[in-house]
Amino acid sequence: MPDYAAAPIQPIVSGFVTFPGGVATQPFFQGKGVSSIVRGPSLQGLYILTLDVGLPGNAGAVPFGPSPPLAPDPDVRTMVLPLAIGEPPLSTITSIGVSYIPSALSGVGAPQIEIAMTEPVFILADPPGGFQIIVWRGFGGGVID
Amino acid sequence: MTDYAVNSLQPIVQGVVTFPKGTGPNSLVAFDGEGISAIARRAGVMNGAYVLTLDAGLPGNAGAVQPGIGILTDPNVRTMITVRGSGAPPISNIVTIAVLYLVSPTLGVGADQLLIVMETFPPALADPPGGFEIIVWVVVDQ
Repeated sequence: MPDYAAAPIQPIVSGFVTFPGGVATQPFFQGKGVSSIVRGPSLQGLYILTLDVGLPGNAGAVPFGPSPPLAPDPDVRTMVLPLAIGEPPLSTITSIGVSYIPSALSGVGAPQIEIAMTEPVFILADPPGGFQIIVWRGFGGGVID
Repeated sequence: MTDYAVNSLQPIVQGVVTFPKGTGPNSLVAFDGEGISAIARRAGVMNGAYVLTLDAGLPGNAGAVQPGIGILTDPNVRTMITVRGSGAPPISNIVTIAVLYLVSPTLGVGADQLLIVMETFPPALADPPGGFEIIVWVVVDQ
């Protein structure tokens, strides 16, 4: 098999967020790597996922990266995809943003991930069908500009 | 262990693109990660379009997306991008993202550059102030 690999990665979160009571109700996470999910300061469209507890810098926290402008970590990737509902199965979401919330404890890194979803025009909103999420950590790298 | 794998895949790029001096027409754009040797704005486009050059490698090896069949260049390559939100809450200003693989003029090399284009709403090319995360995978035919 040809070896294209230039960038080893590992998943630290894999799961599915739903709204069992409907949109604007308590979100629910099924999967691995997340110990809790709560809403941010918005009725819809803003979620804070707390990673499983782990050693500082190990699974359970996204370590700080080497480049302050890129904090917390240039080697973490969150991928989110709304699940559509209805027929045809359309998604209502037009933008997705992700941010990493650093711990107040020095050296721990970011144990929480905040996700913001909006409908037109940039109004925070829940995707009625929920969404899939994967968080990966990569290894290494350096700044190029 | 149950083996669900039907497609072997390998990451060839992972990283974060940022704007160290802030967004704005022709402002500096930077890549931090692996698999990319250079990044620049698309010539003549001041916002929202970036050309990433893959690390040099042997033709068909790391550093190039192999030539494929048809306009997709290679059906076994995947680019995935997530915008990092800025501000509180971390809302993204980007509503469309597209990717194109730029083919090398050297025969047999394949595509050694990625062109990424982002738009806000109403439709206009735009930079995401918080930058964006990127992974490129190559899927290996069995």
